[in-house]
Amino acid sequence: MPSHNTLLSDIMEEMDPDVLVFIKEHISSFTRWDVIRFLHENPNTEDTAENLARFVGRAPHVIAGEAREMAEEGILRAETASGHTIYRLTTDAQMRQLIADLVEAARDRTFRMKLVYHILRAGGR
Amino acid sequence: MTKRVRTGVTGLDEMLHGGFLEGAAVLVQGAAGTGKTTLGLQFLYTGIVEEGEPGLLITFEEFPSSLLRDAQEHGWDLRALEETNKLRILFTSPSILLSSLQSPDSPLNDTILRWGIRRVVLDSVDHFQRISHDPVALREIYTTVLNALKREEITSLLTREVSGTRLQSQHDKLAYVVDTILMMHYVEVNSAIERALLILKARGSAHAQGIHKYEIKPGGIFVTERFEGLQGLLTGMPSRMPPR
Repeated sequence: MPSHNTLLSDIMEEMDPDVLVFIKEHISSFTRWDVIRFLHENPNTEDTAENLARFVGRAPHVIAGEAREMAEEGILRAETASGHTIYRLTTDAQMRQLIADLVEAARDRTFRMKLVYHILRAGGR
Repeated sequence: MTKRVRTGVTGLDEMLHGGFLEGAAVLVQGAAGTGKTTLGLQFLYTGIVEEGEPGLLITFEEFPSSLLRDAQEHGWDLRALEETNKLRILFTSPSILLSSLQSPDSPLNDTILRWGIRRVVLDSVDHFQRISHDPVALREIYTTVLNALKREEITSLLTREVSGTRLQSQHDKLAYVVDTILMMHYVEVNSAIERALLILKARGSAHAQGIHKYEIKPGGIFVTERFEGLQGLLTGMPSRMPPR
């Protein structure tokens, strides 16, 4: 019988390669996962990190750091207006499609297990 | 003659003598659960599907995903309208909206112009109190928002939660700056809760004066007959009118 780790690593290998790369490069914490999922479900959200934190139920300082990094990685767009940094989901169609594929795949319990395993292994919180 | 903007709500358009005046700012107020947001969704859906008028829904608290689900219950596929760029559901906070409306090159203004947005629903104006509680500052905020929409001749519907029977008061700054006020109200009649709708104000337009019943069911809001033989409806607990 395969070990738990073997089973999970096997499952990771069965993932869509593009989604797998996206996960490895961008989903390093549960906070990121929550923000990405929220923005996918509510794609025309435009708000500050502080308000995003309120929507996903996370600490504002944590979201502030993650949002800044995700903007640098091209997942979010950041704009400054009236002294506020406003974040919104990227308009890049390819990135949006990857996010959509990821969210869709994560409706499956086994896939979610893989994702949790990946984040924990990456030391994410 | 100013064009009328149909709401699509059976009975309400008749009460409004055809609909809202184009470019009007409409305040819809009522307690939680009276159907203010549903009325807004129906107004947008009708505009897009029956009149070819693109719409914008601005929500400050209710997640767009919840609104899409609620709309689906009425048979309104708003997601499909979003995907075809006929509807935009913007989830933001009051201060960000305000600065976006004041910036000519903001993505919001770009959307309004490029898509030719004709109808806007803002749900709800109560949240502007997150910016200020000062009545003078609030009036300025309301004026800024409404002017930005009126400049584009957009017909806007603003929701506001009101408990009890508040009508207009001298402290109610928003009531002065809007053109039309609809009130949605719970009424206890014969030990059952009914819903009542009235047009409190319609600047520059004739309208029905009566208090009408309405229902919320699949397909949206349906305004039916006028309450008859009762007085004190706006107290929520009316009594039979004495025989003459």
